[in-house]
Amino acid sequence: MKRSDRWVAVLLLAFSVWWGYHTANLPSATMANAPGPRFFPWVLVGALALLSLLLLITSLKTGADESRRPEANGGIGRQKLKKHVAVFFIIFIYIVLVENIGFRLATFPILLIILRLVMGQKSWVVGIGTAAGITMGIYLVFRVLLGVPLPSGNLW
Amino acid sequence: MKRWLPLLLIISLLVPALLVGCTSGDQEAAPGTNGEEADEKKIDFPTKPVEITVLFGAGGGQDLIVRKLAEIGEEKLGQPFVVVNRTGAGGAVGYTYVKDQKPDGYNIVASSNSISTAYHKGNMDFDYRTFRGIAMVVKEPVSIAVKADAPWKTLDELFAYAKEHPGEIKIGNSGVGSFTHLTGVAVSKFYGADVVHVPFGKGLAVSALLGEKIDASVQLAAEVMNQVEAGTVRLLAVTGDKRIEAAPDVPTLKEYGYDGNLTLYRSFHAPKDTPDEVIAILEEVFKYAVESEEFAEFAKELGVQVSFMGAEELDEFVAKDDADTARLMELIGLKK
Amino acid sequence: MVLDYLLAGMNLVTDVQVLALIVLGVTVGIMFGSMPGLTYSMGIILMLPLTFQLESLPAVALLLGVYIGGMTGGSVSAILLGIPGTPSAAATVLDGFQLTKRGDAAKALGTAVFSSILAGLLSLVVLVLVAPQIARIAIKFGPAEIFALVVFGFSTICGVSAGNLLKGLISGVIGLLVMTIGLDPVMGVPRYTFGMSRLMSGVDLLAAMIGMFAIPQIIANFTASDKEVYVVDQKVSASFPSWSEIRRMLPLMIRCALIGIGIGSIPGSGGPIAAFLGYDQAKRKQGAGGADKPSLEGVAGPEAANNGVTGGALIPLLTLGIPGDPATAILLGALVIHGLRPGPLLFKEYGDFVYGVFVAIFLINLATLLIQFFGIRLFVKILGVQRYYLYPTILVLCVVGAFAVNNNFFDVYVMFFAGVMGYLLQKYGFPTTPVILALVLGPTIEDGFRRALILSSGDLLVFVESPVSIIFLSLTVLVLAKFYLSSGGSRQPGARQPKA
Repeated sequence: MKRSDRWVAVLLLAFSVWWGYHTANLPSATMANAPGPRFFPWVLVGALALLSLLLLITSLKTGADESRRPEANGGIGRQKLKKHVAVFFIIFIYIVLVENIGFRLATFPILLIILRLVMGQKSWVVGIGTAAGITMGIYLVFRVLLGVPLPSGNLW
Repeated sequence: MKRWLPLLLIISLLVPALLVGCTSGDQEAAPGTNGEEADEKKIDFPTKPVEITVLFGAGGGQDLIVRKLAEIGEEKLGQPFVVVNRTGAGGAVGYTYVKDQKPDGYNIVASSNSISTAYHKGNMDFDYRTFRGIAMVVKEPVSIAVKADAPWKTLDELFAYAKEHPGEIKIGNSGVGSFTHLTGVAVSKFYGADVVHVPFGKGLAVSALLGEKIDASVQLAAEVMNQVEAGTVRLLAVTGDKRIEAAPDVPTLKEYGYDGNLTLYRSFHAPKDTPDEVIAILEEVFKYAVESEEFAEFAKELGVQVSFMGAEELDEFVAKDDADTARLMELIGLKK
Repeated sequence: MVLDYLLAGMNLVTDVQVLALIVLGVTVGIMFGSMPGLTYSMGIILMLPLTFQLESLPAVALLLGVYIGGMTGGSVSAILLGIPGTPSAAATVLDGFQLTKRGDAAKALGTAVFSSILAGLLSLVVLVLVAPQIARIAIKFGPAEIFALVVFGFSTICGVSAGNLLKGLISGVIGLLVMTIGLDPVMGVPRYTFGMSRLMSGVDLLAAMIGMFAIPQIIANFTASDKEVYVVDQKVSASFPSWSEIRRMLPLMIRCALIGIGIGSIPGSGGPIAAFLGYDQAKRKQGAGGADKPSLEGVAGPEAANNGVTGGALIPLLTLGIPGDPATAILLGALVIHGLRPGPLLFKEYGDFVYGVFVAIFLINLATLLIQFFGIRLFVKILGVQRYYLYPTILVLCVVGAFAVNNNFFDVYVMFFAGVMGYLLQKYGFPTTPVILALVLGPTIEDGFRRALILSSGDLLVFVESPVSIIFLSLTVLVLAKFYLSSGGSRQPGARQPKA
């Protein structure tokens, strides 16, 4: 068991409490004496709480011998982690942009940023060419060839 | 060579893409292509495809009817109709989408009684007044059926049994708050019988009926007709003012003494600020499509009744229908 | 009698137009199935208006082509990229993607195609010979029986938990929790919508699946330095499975195909369970083992099962007029448009049409086989594409695909957050496949459970009343017991002994 497991288990426990709070607020209607909309969620909350408790116990039991290795959490260094978070952020921005200015306008600049800043593509020509090529290519295949609607943007 | 391959690929993709981009841009920029028609009307509509939002899944009754009408109506419209399924939350997802679009006639919704059921159930916080009618296209009777070898020959017999055996008869419908559910409850209340209404997913009530998991089903007539024709299912009653063509021996609910209509309607609606002229153009297109020979035949295959109604009349109809639905849902205790 | 019909059907099918439509349908199906984010259901919807213009048989042939081609194509991106093209291909990812990492992509793809087609043809034989009999059994599956079947489906969680059952179970429960968001499936009461009307329609399975599989890989590849590229750029061997390998897997394929046919024929049970059960079969009988020990069986099993589903789903459709899944619901619509009412009468009144469909299915399977085998050489080229081109493309595909599922932009955000979740789960050693299993089965399990109790007025005995549910429930107990014993009752990670 990894050292991080005990923290994950604690978080999951807290989450099941929070989720349980919302479950308690669900409407409790029933039909023909059968369980209502709250029943199944309660079973799940119970199961999650039980399982995360088990995880906590096992990680406490077996965790001692491995607890001296701080790099155990997936082998990802701090530097890399920062980069991952940044990429998540860029992807999120991309999605927000597509929703608002549309697929064609949003995709090109974001891809260029990803290629140059994230993936470290050095050449401008290749960067611009690839970003434009992917944008146009997907537009062509989806919109023109297959007729699948693409997100068009809220603003215009 | 290997290094050049991607670049070549990109160029080969780019060139046609730019060309396509230009030509489609031209189309959008040149609205007066069929100039004569445009001059006759006060406004220039449509200059681009009109999108119809369908609230239920592809292949379902609503979807097929809309796609067929779109296909027939396109010629008359002069622009394509684009049919898009936006399903979820008993129609609320699609209604919400169309409500939020510009009221310019390029986004309309294929509506039905679901505008009332979804609102009164609490799935959305706006009602039929958010939209204005374009045209009603068909009506669909609801059927009450039992298995062919069931002992009940009439609706009266079924409910007489149900009254003697409270809580024993199980009637399947297409989901809580669906139109078939309302119909089922209305009928059981009418007889004063205590039955169990079992909500199923779309179409699965028929399979449960055949598998003898339930005693009767309340489904759109079109959904059970092939079973009726095959002799595996017996219709006891249909809703609506007159008996249906496909099953002339089956009495209507009215004949059983129930005072009410309980027929599903299907219609087109647009956001309420859509200009009159645009509504008029679309109404004309749908009138043409609905009254075409081709659609009549299609409707017959589908087992629905062609029933055109213009925009103004439709608005009044929906208002009345909404009030009826509200009353019914109040009665069942489903109204939020 | 049958022969007459077959000949008549053959005449209907073998004209050039129908053949061309079959090839078109299969090609479109493979394209939609193999691109992450697009599904064969979408392909069928897009082809639907086209069929209005056609005669009934060509129309059905086209749609079936998309259906069967798409189901087979779903394995391509599952194997090559680790992103399933359809939910049914989620189980194929487990061993298929690992095989690709070892340079066995072509072999895995070949196995997938071969077992898919074998299952497709087998399901056709069943459809022709015993469809009415199967339909009579399938229709007896009420909510209680479907519940039992789905519970059994859940037992496969043991097999896909990659050696850590506890974490696998937690993943599964998280997946189920996610699926309870939105309107409750039985009574339509909103749950966990937190005041957002957008959440009312719940979390879309497909959008969530795309995000969960694709986003973590995109992140990893975007941030990888050139030294640590995640997709192998080693030379891809173009070897197909050998005859001896195929012979070895044949019993497994047949068994999985039959599982698929059976499950496909039950209306409302949800086809993807079949693929997971198929994987489970492969794992238990032949010892496929995910990351540690990927095997061709782990591809053959689920692929045979999910293509068995296509034929199985046609059984209630043609004999009873009841669609088993969304794809066959669209097929039903197409039939009705052409004035054909599927059901008991269809065989009597339109015998030559029905047999025409049978012949068409045969040809579709052949066409899929040819196109896919030819395509493999092309598909594996994807692996040679530099990550500069590949992963940005996949990111864009994910956004477009998540949007295209329901034409609803909200689903793109669902995709993103599922991606974040998938990333976190992987980072902390939780397997993600159980989440997908739970997303697929969650609504059905709750539906079945509650509907069964409504039918029995709250009597729990309903679950042990019919032999079918007793069998499935005891099978579940058996699987769990066996798993517990074989892992020595220990919760140590990796303590699970691979069984011979």
